[in-house]
Amino acid sequence: MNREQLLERQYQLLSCLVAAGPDPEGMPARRLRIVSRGLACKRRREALSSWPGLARLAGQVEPWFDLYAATHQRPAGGSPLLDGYQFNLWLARRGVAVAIRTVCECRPYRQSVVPRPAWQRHLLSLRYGLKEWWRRQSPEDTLKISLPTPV
Amino acid sequence: MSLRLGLGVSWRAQLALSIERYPQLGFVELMVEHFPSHKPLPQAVLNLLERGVQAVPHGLSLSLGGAEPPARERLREMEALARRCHAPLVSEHLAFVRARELESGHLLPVERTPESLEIVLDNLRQAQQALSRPLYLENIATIVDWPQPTWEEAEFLRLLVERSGCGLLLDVSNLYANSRNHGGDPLEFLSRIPLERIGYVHVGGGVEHDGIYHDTHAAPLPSEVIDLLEELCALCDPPGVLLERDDDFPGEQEFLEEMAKIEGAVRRGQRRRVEATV
Repeated sequence: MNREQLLERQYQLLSCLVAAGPDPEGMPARRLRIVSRGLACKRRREALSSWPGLARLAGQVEPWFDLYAATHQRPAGGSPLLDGYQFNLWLARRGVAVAIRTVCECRPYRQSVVPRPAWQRHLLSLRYGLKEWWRRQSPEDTLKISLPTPV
Repeated sequence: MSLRLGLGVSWRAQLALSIERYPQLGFVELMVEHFPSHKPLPQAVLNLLERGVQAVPHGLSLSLGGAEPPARERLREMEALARRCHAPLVSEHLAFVRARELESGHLLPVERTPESLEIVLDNLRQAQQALSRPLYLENIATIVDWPQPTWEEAEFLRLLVERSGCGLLLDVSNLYANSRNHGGDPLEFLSRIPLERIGYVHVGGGVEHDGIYHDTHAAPLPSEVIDLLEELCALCDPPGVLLERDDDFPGEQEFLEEMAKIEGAVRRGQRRRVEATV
């Protein structure tokens, strides 16, 4: 078995655990489900707790995160901070004020985030402000991108 | 000079005050991913370093057991943290955390086959070349394992440590968790690994749920883990023992009780070892 063959086997296991792929042969299905649920919970907990703005939405934001996670894998490198940032972007596109503030204030850098320069902050605030104004003018667009109802 | 770390704690901002006030503190473990090289170290960590507390960078995402070689950028980050805190050693898990574009976010088991052994050894060689400090490998807790392994976990660890020249970071709680979830005698495990290669030991709490033991690091230390630590200290003299607590953080009183449990187990084990040699 060379690196490529091992990679394929590890990819199959990972795909089963985080991307709803089929179970690898010879591994107990019940335990795979337990690990898969554990990884999803850990991902959500780490991403939300990395951002105080998201942590303040505790009890409300979790179903939104699950919806986001269903279509977005952890970012390359696996950083919870970047995962949370990506989720903030997802929320900002749907007009969530606390997420818009986060996205305007900082940007990704390597496996972390850094503050945006002032000109970028102002430009982004203006852009999101205009989007919000436009959304108010077009209720049908608001419906298309609105947040799901928390369960 | 032989390695001596003493009693330690995995540094978390939520525990910073309790850690700083703990008088017997010998070392702290710093998660490499929490201290990127472009940001300054927190003042609370700098205070500890100034006090002479040793620091050990501990990685979560090198994926040394992965089919893909460890990323140079991650190795550079580990090396940068080791230099910044004058670390005597660095540590990582025997696990994989990514394959192609997928990230697990947690430690997954490595196949224990001859082919996999050679690939992990090659990864370890690359990591050792990039790091100026000795690398210590940690055993992980698993709920699923690869079918039909060639070697048991203890044997695989022994082969890796002996052939790579790495040290061993023995996680006693992971050993306990695996014996609960997969069977096997943890004392027999201890008799089959090179105890003299242990750099330090991890202990942490966990919970059982639906018949599966989860090593959560979010609960008080179970008595079984403390007993196992005592057994280990009766067999050898690990240079350091460290408490891992990652969630549901204790107040200062509970923190001190946890450290007292560790201290007691180490002392009892040492006494038994001395008595056995007299």
